Amino acid sequence: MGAVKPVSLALEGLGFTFPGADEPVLRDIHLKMDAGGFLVLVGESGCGKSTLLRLLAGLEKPTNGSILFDGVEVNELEPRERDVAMVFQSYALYPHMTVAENLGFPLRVAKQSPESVRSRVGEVAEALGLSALLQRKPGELSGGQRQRVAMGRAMVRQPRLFLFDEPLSNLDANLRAQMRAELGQRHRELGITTVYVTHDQVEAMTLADSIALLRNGRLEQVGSPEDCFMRPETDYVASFFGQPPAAVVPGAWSDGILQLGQGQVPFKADWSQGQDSQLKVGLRPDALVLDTEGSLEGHLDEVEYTGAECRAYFRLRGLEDHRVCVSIDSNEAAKLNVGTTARLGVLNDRILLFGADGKALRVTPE
Amino acid sequence: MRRWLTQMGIYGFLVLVTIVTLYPLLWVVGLAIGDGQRRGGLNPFASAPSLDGFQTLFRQSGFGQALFNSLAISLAAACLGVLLAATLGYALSRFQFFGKDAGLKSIIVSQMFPGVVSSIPIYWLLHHLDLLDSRTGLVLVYATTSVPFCAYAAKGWFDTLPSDLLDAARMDGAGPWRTFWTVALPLAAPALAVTFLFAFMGAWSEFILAQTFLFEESNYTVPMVLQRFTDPHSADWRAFAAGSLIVSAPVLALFYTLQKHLVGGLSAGAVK
Repeated sequence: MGAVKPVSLALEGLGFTFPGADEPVLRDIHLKMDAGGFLVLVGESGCGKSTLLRLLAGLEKPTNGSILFDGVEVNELEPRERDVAMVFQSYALYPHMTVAENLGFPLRVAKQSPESVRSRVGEVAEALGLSALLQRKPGELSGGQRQRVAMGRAMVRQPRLFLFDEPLSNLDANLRAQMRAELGQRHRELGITTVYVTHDQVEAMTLADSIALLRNGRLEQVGSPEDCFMRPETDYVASFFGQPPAAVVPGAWSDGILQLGQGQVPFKADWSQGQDSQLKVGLRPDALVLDTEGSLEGHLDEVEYTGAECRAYFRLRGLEDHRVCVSIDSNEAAKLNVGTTARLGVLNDRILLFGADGKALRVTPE
Repeated sequence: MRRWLTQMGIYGFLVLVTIVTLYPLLWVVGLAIGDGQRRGGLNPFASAPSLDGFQTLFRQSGFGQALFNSLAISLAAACLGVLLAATLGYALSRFQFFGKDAGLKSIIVSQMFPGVVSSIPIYWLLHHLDLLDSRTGLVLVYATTSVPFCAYAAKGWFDTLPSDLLDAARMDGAGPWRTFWTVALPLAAPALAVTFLFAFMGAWSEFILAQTFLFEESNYTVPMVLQRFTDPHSADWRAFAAGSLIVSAPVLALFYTLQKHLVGGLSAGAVK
């Protein structure tokens, strides 16, 4: 395949409101992305991630701000002028065309000669293992094969930017894992800048070099998967990432003691930002351990068996409205009885602290 | 036992309805291929077989020419009507433009009036276009009168096309025309088959407008020729029946070839 120059991407104050709607779907999005990068957009349904993708595609035009490809504004350019390709959640294969015709469509539209269309389609089909299926119609293909054809149709034109809208969400779990691996592999081979929308955290974490979490049309955090997971900038980010995500509970700190419900956790730290303040405390499943000497007491609500480890859900005394997950070893789980109470210890260096406004507090425990 | 009775009741009713529907048709067939002498009371095929009816039909009256005229006019009108209806339906379904709602409503309203109402303005139009007494003129009249219904049907079908498909075509570099021709139109084939049939049948069996706008006998359509056999003073019902059979043939043939699409087209959008 010929050399393609991937594009670098920048969004500056991007906003979008659907014609006739009052509320904007996207507001004030600032984002930079290097050429050849893999950006994953995540967020709840309706947060605007698919709309952002459609703006990048050129299927919608921004209301404010600008979209820059290699520093050049492309706001008003049609998709074909932007040289981008998109894989749709529904695959959007043309049902009346064969696989070969589907793959060749973008080339035929670009008025390439029949010979070059044929040879390029052959190349792409070969690379995706579709050579034997070229004469089939999409209706005669399995889900995974359709997904590959959709990929192929996006690859065939060698675009500068790939856009994916939840491309794997219609596949069953095993196939999804396989296609996810293939997708990552392909991105490493082709090196084309990619923006990928998903609601699947595993996809986001494994594929992305950078994740952007959207909430109500605003960017909540942009960062590497590790940043998003380990160093969430807000309590919302903490309660979004993780399986299960962090439980965010109210707390307070004063004089070396972190108050969680009725539990008092010794927590010595160099505390410059707001002493004695009301806090939000993010507890991931690995922040708590079963410990007969522990400073917290929890009522065991439920145990989920997931394989080597189990998830035990507790309601901490004084914080009965919240369920806190603790990941424990299966052998230990066998000794627990739902409905009883247990003592839990806190690993100070694993807990996440946020101010009352939800912004992260960077506090290093001593 | 009660279930059995209910079943019998349903079957009996259906048989009765079938007889009521088919009997007049059988009568026409019997009349067309009989010798015109009535013998047995209710049996439509009681008279001796004879093809005199068909002979009369073709020997006099320019029936062959009329048949050709009707076929040419109806096919041209249906093709033109479907083409206009498909583009209009697509635009109504997929684009936002000024006057769209008003246009849609006026299409529906226009369907509330019989076509004859507009015969005087159309007459005036054709007169000024120098298209009175011409087959081209009648093609235009039939094509345009079929457009509102057909466009509405086509819009309904285009509404059911997943927008992802059209977005995908746009991403693949296709402009609006290319998307319409290569993606939307082929996928709308079943619906267009149905609208084609309606447009064709409307033109094929139309009498009043043809009678109003055509004068020269060489331009006559089949219904106009057939009408002459029903003249109260010299009615030839056998020739009329024979003509009716021939007139039904193209419609039957069309129904037969399009039936696969018909079921899909009529129920299109019912289940997604």
